[in-house]
Amino acid sequence: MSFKRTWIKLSKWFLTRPNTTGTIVFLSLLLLLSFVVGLRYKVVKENQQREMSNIINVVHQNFQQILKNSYTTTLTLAMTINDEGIPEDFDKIAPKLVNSNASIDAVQLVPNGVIKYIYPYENNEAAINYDILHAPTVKEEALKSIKTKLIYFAGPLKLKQGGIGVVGRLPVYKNNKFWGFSAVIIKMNTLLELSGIKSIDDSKYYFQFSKVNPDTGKEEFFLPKKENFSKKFYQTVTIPDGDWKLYLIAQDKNGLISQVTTSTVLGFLLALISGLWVASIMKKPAKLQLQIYEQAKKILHSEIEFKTLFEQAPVGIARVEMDSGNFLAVNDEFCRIVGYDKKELNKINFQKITHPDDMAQDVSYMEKLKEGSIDEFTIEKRYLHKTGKTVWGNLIVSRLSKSDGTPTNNIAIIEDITEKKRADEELKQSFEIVSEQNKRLLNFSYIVSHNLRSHTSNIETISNFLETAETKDERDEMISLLKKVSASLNETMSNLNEVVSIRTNINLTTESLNLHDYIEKAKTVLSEQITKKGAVIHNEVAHNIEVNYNTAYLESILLNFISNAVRYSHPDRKPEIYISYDEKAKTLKIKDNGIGIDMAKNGEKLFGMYKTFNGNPDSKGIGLFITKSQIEAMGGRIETESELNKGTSFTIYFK
Amino acid sequence: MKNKVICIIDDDPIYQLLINKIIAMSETEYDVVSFKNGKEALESFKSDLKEDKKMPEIILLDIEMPIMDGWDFMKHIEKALSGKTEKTAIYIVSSSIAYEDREKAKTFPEIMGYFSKPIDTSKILEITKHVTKGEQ
Repeated sequence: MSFKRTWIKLSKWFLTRPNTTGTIVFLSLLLLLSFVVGLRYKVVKENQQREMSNIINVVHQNFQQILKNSYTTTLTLAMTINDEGIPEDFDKIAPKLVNSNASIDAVQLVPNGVIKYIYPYENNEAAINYDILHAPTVKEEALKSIKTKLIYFAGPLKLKQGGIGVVGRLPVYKNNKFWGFSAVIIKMNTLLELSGIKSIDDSKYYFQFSKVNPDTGKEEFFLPKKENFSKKFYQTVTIPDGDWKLYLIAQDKNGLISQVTTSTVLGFLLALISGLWVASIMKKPAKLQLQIYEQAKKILHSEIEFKTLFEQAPVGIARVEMDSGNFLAVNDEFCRIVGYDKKELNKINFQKITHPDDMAQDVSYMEKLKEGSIDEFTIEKRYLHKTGKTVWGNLIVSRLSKSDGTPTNNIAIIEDITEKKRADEELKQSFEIVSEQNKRLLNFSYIVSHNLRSHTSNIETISNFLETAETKDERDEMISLLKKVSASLNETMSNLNEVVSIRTNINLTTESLNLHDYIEKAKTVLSEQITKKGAVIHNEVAHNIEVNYNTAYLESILLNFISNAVRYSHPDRKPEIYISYDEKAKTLKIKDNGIGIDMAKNGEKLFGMYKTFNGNPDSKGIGLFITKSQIEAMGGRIETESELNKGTSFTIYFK
Repeated sequence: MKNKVICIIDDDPIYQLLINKIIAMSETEYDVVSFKNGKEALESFKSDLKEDKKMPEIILLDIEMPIMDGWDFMKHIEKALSGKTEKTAIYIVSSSIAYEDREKAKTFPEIMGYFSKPIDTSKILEITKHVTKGEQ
């Protein structure tokens, strides 16, 4: 775990520093390749040394062979010298020796240091009688061989007979007395050819051949390339028979290095390119990394902003799972609206806190949102607050989708409109009350004006007639009419007075009244009428039902409905009246089997003042008007169901 | 018997009595026929039509009446007597002075005019003259 973290940290460190990483890669590769090149250099060097020592050994062996042959030849030649110190058959033996030895260009006998015999004579005659022991340039070397009593090769030197060559001289003693030299001449060219020096591939190596000059003590070089090679690679062998030194020199000091130069350069380039490549490759991730970092910063910033917005918004916001309706996230305001805290809400779904009456609508919208037939919806709905009260919210729900369009969940924004709703409701109620009152007032003023005017207009007409009346009969008739008008005006006035008193009576005293008993009381009051019609009244109200009502109003209401039911009975049957109470709805139902009312035609006018529909001479059209006023004054209302010729049922709502 | 008929439809018996007197005093050529409400009048007209009797020339119609009020009567007379009331001039005579009633009266093309009670001889004469002119 910690290793992994370290690794991530490390890789991040490298990823963000492409130049450093590139340099590291470059240096590492360079080191590796240097090591490889170093190894290779070592191998090449060893190869070269091996090759050089091979070559020089071969040449050395060839030299040895030539010198051995020369020694054998000089020895053979020396044996031709008889005891008197006279060579015998030199002319016969010398050609044989020269001809059988490719390395030997000439042989000579040098008694007492003076060249007397030489083969082949041609081209060499210039050397005859050359006294070498007294020639300054060659004297030293000649004396050296006498001293050592061994064959010694002088030169390379300029030959008396021309050309350059080496002269191998074997000192010959006769009777323990120095006789002279038996010598061979090897031309330089022959020596170089036979030793293999000439046949060397001079692209790689070259030879040098040297001898320390006995006169000067300096080392003298005899082959053409005489430049200083001390700093080059070389190998050397010493040939003591001539005090020679043979050098095999590598053509170029850098030849060896040049072999690894290509590898070095290529390696360096490879390392450099790799380093640059790594750096350039890593610069992109580094750029991306930087961009990611910048983006992340921005996202974080906007996240914080949105979080703040979400948390502190003055509206409730909730993220809701599409299928289940579970709350995924809610803000403080939402919690405040519904009264649950976040933990509680995260365990439940929106259905749990939705008012049952608004559930169907909300769920159906949610389904549509899920199907995709709508993208958002707005409804006003009720929530069940934790405390049990109902709160109103204006809800806007939108679908949240992934980039490919698949819906994930919904975002809901809820505005608490409880207060607004309450105010609206109050306003609506007071508007209804006011408009109802206004309607009633208008109706009432109409009634007042109409009913009063019908009387006053009659009075006006009568008074006109009275003025113009010529006979007493006429006058009496008018006065009796006037009395009638006066009486009906009085009745109208008292009716209106009653209505006004109901309407103006705001602070009515109410008390708990037993409904059953009051129905029985009304029956008693109406007993004469009931008996006359043979009506049956079924009081189905339980004995224990109590209603909070004004005594006078309850009496009046019951009397009115029961007497109406008896009065408007159907001529074909005896009136039967059922009175029942619904405890749940707090309603009293008075049902009769009377003549019924044409609701389509007269429903609206049923409770109007002075409205009658049946031509019954007893109906004045004031009872239901007053009854309705009384019910409304007690805060209730009235509903009517009726069918012509079947019967009517009135339902009175208690508050 | 005079051959022209003026029909009063009103539930107020005192008014009925008084209007009869007024028309009589106006010395017109009209007879008076009275009905207590719209329904009674309508039924009478229907039976008259069956017997091929002619319709009244003038109807003075009250608005507020039990059983069938003036407006209902107007609706029914349009349906039941369509095409046969051309010669009948209908006037509203009501104790109502409400603006709404006057305006509502204008929605019925058969209604020739609107009078508020009380009615006197001059108004009766005005109506009868108007109708006579219309006939000429």
